[in-house]
Amino acid sequence: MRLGTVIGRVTLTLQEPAYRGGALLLIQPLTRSQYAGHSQKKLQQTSARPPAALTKANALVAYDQLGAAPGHIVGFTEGAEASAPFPIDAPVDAYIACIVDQIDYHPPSEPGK
Amino acid sequence: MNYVRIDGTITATACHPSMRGFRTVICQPIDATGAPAGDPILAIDPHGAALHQRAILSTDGSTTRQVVRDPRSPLRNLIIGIADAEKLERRN
Repeated sequence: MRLGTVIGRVTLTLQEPAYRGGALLLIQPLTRSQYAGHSQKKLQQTSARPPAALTKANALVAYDQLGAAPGHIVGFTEGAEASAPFPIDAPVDAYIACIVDQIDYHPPSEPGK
Repeated sequence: MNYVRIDGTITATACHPSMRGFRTVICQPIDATGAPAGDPILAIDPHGAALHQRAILSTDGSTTRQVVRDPRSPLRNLIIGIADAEKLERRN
């Protein structure tokens, strides 16, 4: 599982029946430097959504059943496991497993430790 | 399996039911010298690894599904062991 910022929504006119009941969200994966920026902050309660820092890492579309919105930081899983929660076979390879409330990120000051 | 260092935790109330009851830790893959290698990965940790401790991270989904006892769990990363000691041997 990786963390990412929701930066948008994808709406389909025609879709797979398995997609019913959820939403497709556009996610920008967090890089290591961005983790420190979000640490120790109450992520959900901030009224002003934190601006999504676009990075060079390419964004991806993930399936969401938890109701995440643009600006939220979510944990998403990729690969075959992403289609596990579906009762019928679903062409999904990124699934939002959690909406993050708080990140407590404390890397050691000197890398060797 | 990856060799990772535990750099923190996250809390998430809105999550897939299979995540409940487990700690979600931020794992930093490290190279032989302990320097970070790549972006952090999240994993569930049934063993309670401490901060900055080294651990073994398994990325096998079927193992994780058995541990969380949910065949429909989207989770894949799982801490399966905590390193007591590490010894780097250079053979050249």
